[in-house]
Amino acid sequence: MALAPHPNYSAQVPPRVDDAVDDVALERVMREVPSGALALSLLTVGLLLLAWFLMYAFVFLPRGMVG
Amino acid sequence: MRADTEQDILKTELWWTALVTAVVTAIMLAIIYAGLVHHINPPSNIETVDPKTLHLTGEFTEGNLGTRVDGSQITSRIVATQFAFQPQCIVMPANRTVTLRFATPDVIHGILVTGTNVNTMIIPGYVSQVHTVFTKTGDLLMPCHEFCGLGHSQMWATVRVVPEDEFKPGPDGRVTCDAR
Ligand SMILES: [Cu+2]
Repeated sequence: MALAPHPNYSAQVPPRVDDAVDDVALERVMREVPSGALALSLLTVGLLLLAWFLMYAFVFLPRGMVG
Repeated sequence: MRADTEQDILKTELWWTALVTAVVTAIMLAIIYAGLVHHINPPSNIETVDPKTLHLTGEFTEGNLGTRVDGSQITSRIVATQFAFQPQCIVMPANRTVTLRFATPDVIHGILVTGTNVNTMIIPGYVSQVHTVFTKTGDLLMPCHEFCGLGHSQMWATVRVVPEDEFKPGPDGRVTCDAR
C-alpha cells in the first residue's frame, strides 16, 4: 500500500517569503566576521599560553633539578 | 582586518602564522632555559639489563634494593613488578643530589613522585635512571603511572624524604624505612 501524503501536508509548509537581509547588509557583516574570529582566537590562545606560563613559572621551575 | 579579497585573507593567515610561530618559539626557549639554567631535563639514560635474570644476578637482586650510600653517591634501586614496587618505601635525604634507578622484569611501568619533577617510564630490558634533589621533607607518594594490568591502581610506593642530619646510613651503607 503506497503512503499517501497527509491531507493537510501542503498546509504545513510555510509560505515562501523573501529573506529580509539585503546584499549590502550581508556584505557588511561578512567584512566584520574575520575580526570576531580573530578576537576569539587571540583570547583563547592567549588564555592557554597564560595558563602554560603560570604552570611553568610557579610549578615546574620551583620543583627543581631532574635529569 | 578585512576579508574582501583573497589578498586580505592571505594577509590575515600570514599574520596568524607569524603569531603562532612566535608562541611556539617562546615555549621552546622556555624549555631550553629550564634545561640549561635549572637543569630540568627529561631522563635520558640508555642502559640495558636482562629482565629474565634481573632478580637473580647483579644490581637488582633483592638484597641490593633500596637506598645505599657509596662515598658521596646516594643511590636507590627499585624493581617495579605487577603490581608492587620492591621495596615499598625508600628513604632519601633532603637537599642532596640523589640517584633513583628502576628496572622491571615484566611489563612497562612508569613512576612519578608527587610534588617533584621526577617522572620516568620503566621498560623491560632497560634501566631507568633519574637524578634529582628533594627539597621538601615528608612522605611522598610514588604511584605507577603507566597502566600495567588489573592491579595497576594498587601499585604505589613511598619516598620518605628526611632532613639531611637524620639521614644516617648503617655500617653497610644502607638506609631503610623499617630502621627508622
Ligand atoms: Cu605498574
